[in-house]
Amino acid sequence: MNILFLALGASRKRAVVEECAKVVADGGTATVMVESIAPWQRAGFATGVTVIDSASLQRAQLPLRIERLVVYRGPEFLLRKVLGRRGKRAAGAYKKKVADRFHRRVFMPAYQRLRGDTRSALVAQHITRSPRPFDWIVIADPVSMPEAAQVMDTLGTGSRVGLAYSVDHIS
Amino acid sequence: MTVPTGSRHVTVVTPWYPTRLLPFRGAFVQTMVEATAPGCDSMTVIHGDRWSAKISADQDKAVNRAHLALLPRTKRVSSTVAGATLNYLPVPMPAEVGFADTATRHEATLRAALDGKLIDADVVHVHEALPSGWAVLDHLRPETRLFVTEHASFLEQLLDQSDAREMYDKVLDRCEGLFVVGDGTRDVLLKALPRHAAKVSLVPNPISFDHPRPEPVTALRRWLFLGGLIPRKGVNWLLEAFAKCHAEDPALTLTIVGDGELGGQLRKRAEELGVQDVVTFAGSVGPEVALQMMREHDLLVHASRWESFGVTVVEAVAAGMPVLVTRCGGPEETLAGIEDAAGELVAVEEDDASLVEGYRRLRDRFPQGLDLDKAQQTLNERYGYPAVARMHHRVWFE
Repeated sequence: MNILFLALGASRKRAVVEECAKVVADGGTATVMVESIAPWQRAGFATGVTVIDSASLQRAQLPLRIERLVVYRGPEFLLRKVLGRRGKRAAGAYKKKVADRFHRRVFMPAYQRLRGDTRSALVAQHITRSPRPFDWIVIADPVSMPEAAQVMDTLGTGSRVGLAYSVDHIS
Repeated sequence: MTVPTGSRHVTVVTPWYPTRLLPFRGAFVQTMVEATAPGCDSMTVIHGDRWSAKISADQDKAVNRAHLALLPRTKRVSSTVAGATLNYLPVPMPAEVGFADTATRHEATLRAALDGKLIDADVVHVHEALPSGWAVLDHLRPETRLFVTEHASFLEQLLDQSDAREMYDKVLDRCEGLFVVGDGTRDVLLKALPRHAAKVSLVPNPISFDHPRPEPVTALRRWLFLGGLIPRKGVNWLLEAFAKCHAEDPALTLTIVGDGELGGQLRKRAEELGVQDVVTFAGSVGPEVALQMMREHDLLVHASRWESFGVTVVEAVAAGMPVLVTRCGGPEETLAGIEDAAGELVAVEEDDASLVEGYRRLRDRFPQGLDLDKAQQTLNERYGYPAVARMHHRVWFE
């Protein structure tokens, strides 16, 4: 069985870790979609469990790759080149005070307005493009519920992927 | 939600049932199902599981909207003990939600899961009037008999809140009987809602006596604590008492089973006391593992400030362990008449003195001064599966 855990809120970590271990032990595959890797670093996932940072799905999109080049890497490269030894510090300050703020306050809101709430679309895309089809999505915490609803809407009624709150309820 | 029916079909609705996240919580509901399901045509357990999260008011609205929309599309039914069916319903909510609001959310979740239908059962037995009793009120057939078991250790705080008390009152109006697991709970309840006195009676939690330890305890060396690492459990005083007793007998060890807010503090204190090498923090374990651990330790130390029943104490005696336990409400009732046979009861004090002195007295009269066989037999008659099942079946079906 191929299971995708939506664990964006990280509020039920123990259940997710144990259920992933059960899936893997039973010969299945478990992928855990998280908001950020940091809270999960010491979670102790069983070998073979795949953890995906949902932001990494977004970062792989062309507009975000272009933004990264134009807003981050280009200016940082120039600052280092022009300012020499002081360039590293200036590039750090630029990233924090200009690039990150622009990304957060201007780029992402505009991007989301133009493209819709893309994270759910990207998760849905991840599900449909997976080389091994997902059988179930396990909703693992409250924060993942709105995302799960959007993902299911994006997948449409024809999707065969099932929804559950725990692998213990999947026969 | 379709459930099998029969003339003796019972639906149990509970906010507490063991899960992978909290394998201990609601173990007593599971044992009640295990004890009583065999006498029924069928039994369905509806577990409304609180899913707390640190979320804003806007997030809360979005989460609830999505939750109620998703619920009918999810697979939630599985089998549980004794052939019963488990219907799992997560109930999302922010971390800090009051009793009344919690009950309202449980009701909304149940309503979405039932999808306009009523609970198809002759008997509905809920654990906790709030939230579970409130959740089912609008979803019962007119002839369905409703019973409630109240275990809540926070009942006094709950009944202090006027909106929650009003809801509780309505549940009591509809139910035929409310069972409490100890006199302490009954006193709290009747102080707040005295007009329901005739409906309130005592039904204990069932305990299995089928798995005694292979070898009897020979010395009180391996101490065991099982419970939440929270102030109410008195686990900080237990650690202090253990350190003093360990200084007298370096062969003593302590295993602390459970999780909670005091975990880090207790580990640090164990180091300060120099007992870190003989104190094991085992974390939370499932009920099966907990019972196995009871068979592998010599003494259960239970230092609670307040308990409505104190299941662990009876389970420990069932597993052949003596107990050192505070007079915290439930245990003096459960062990009434067999206090000396089962172990030692000590006063609840905000220090470690009563536990240390209690241990010394127990150690000095062990084993001749105890009679664990007698204690087991007495408790089996009071709280064994057949006894508790008979009580439930009588009120449900006669």
